[in-house]
Amino acid sequence: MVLFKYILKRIFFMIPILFGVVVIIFTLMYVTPGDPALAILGENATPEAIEAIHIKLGLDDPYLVRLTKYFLGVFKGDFGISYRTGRPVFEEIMARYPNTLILTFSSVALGVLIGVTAGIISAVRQYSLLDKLLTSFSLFGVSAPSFWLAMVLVLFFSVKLKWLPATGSYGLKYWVLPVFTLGLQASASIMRMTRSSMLEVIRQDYIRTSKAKGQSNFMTIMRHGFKNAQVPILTIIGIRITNFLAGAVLVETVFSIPGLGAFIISSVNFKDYPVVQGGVLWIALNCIVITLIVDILYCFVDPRIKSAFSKKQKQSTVSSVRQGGS
Amino acid sequence: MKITKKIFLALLLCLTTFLILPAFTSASSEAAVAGDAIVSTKDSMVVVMPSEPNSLDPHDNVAQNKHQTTRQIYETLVAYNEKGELIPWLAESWEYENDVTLVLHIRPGVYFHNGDELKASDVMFTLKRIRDDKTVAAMQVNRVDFDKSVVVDDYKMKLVTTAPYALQLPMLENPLCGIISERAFKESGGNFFEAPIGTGPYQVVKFNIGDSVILKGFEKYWIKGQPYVKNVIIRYIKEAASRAIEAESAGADIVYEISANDVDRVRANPNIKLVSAMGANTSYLYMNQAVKPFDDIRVREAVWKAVDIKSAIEVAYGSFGKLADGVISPGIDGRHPDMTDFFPKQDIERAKALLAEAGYPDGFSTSISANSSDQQRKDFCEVIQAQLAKVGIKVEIVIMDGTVWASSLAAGKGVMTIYGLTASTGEAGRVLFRWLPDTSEWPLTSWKSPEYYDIINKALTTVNRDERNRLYYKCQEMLMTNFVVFPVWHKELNAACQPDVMGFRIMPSYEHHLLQNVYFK
Repeated sequence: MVLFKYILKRIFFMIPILFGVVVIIFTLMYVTPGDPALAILGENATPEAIEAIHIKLGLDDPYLVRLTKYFLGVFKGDFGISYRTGRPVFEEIMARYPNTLILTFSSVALGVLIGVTAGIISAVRQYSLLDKLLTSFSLFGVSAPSFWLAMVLVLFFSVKLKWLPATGSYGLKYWVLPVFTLGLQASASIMRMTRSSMLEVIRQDYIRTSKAKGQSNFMTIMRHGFKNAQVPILTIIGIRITNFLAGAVLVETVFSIPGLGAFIISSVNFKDYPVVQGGVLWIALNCIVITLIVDILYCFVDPRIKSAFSKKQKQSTVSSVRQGGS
Repeated sequence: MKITKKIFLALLLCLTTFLILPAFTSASSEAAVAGDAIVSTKDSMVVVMPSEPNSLDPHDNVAQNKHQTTRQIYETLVAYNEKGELIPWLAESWEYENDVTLVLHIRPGVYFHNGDELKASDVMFTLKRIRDDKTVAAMQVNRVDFDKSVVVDDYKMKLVTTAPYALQLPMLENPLCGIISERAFKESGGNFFEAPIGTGPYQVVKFNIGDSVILKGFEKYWIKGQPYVKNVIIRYIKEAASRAIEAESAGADIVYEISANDVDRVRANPNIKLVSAMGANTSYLYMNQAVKPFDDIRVREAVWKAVDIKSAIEVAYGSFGKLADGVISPGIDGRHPDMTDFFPKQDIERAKALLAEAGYPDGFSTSISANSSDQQRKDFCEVIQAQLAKVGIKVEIVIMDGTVWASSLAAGKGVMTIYGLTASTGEAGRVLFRWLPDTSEWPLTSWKSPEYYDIINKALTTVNRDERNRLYYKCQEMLMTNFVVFPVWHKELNAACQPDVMGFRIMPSYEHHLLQNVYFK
């Protein structure tokens, strides 16, 4: 019940956040110089054609009128029509969103698999050669720019060895390089967090107690150690998911994956305001939902957090009763 | 033991067969070319283009990249052959009844992808739609008097212009005038995503927004035997480096537009065939005469004499394209036969003397603008900046987003810039009329010359080709002798093809290379 109320409260707070996002991005696009009509029609468009587009798209309307129209549309679920294609923005977003989702979650899954494993090993064997190698790997992973890594992988595996395709998203093998590129980055940051979190935990008394009681090393680490180290790891995973949802544009561009990030960027160049506004709003919504899911998962991963909610609820109930009584 | 020996021999026989067999199959897969019949060894090809079309409406966007796709679906009444001559296409023949009436005979036996036969009424409907819907293509028919134009019968129509207009037929070659089916348009409510119906060699199977277009060969295409390759997947890769990599990794059969940064490497790759040809686009160095001191012809001449365009082009473009040797690109009808004497040699001392004469002995400050997405033009601006500094002209480079830059130029706010024009009709008038005051390009130079206007307007209404070209030559000479624009670079078009690709030809004007001619050997 407490958790349910918490979720409702968070959903409620989404509204002002999304409102702020809409106003900011709308205003930014409004003040950005450039004429969408020229972008749509091309540089050699006649003044008459440009004027016709302005009237058709309402580009000459004042700021508040345009903002109000946009808000009213968003409340009805209408993100507007793309200036470039003439199709509903929501359809354009949904045509590309699955590719971004595949890339994001595959990369994060790979990152978790490699990162968590490497992080645990690194923590358990602190200062060993393996630890040093894994730490160096993680340093490389967080330092290397994604587009550089992508190009290097393409040059090696696609151009030199011709093992994997360089661009596209037409089958499983097309996803190998892009997922590996982002997965490597994700695994580096997850590994660092896992290592750090595990190091804190494995020094605790209860770990020593578990070992003293004759529990195997593996069970001690995984059952007692890792379970208590999960919260920060979950946080970094959530951050990575939101990063990739919003910012995998460089990888999408290098590998020509028709994802949402690359589409938004090309829409900025095209002055396709409705797509930029709708796309950013959609990503903001996704990020809020992901953050909420992560917060909920905390409760399941660490029961102490869930009980803390209940305690707070009880404390606030008790204090309100006391104030009312006296 | 005997059984083992038998098994061994059987395996050896199988292995031998396995090794020998490809030799027979590869021999039989040679393309059969007998007479006019071409049989492609492969049934599908992947073509990579730089940007996806915003829609499949052939009339709504001038961007050449868009027509690279739509030209495979829709066709025009006339087309250009390899020699740059206008040839019949959907119009089987034509003649001029008088100076303002063009009679078009529509080719019978041409079908739309929905099975309807092409009629003159479809052509008239298309041209009227272009105008009535205020599409971008409207400028192609803005001199047509539709009240007087008529459909005579199913295969004959008369197009009447408001005045004699020599460019009307070449205008109809523009892919912006792709002929559409009247019935399909009305039934779909003008929704080209639902009904991209043309007469072209390919019809749309699927348009994956943001990714690709899948085409299949049209069974009833009017040129028998074509298209040779029945299935085409057009993929869109915006990044030039990624396109070059796609070519080098053999991920696509044809890759359009290898950039200047990658062209030398791709050209040197023995596994790739780089097909190139001069395009119809020429870049010019502009000076806006509405901004002092460029209103003074001595200052403009001084700038011309101060710059070494050859070095600037080498730095910016390397071996890509060609140093301009005329106002109009090579191969374009009406290009001046020899403009060598009109291009000044670099002469720093003379440039300084001219500036001193004009009242700027110590030079002056000015600016040059360029599009942020064009690295080569930015590099060119940097070289020009360094060269003009030697005569005391301090140039500030202003880099702007593409649409901002285009808007500022159209509003007359440009000072110096580098900008390209395309002779998209395949003849010089298409470029030369851009210096008329009612065009969007006029504010780039703000050049006022009633004499020029008279000559070019006369040329555009002169139907006789030789006479028209003589007037075009005069216009080009005037542009150079008045130092209006300095032609700097003729654009090269290219495409990287895999070695087994045959028949691919660069189309210089709109860059809408026809895939129907392609086959695999």
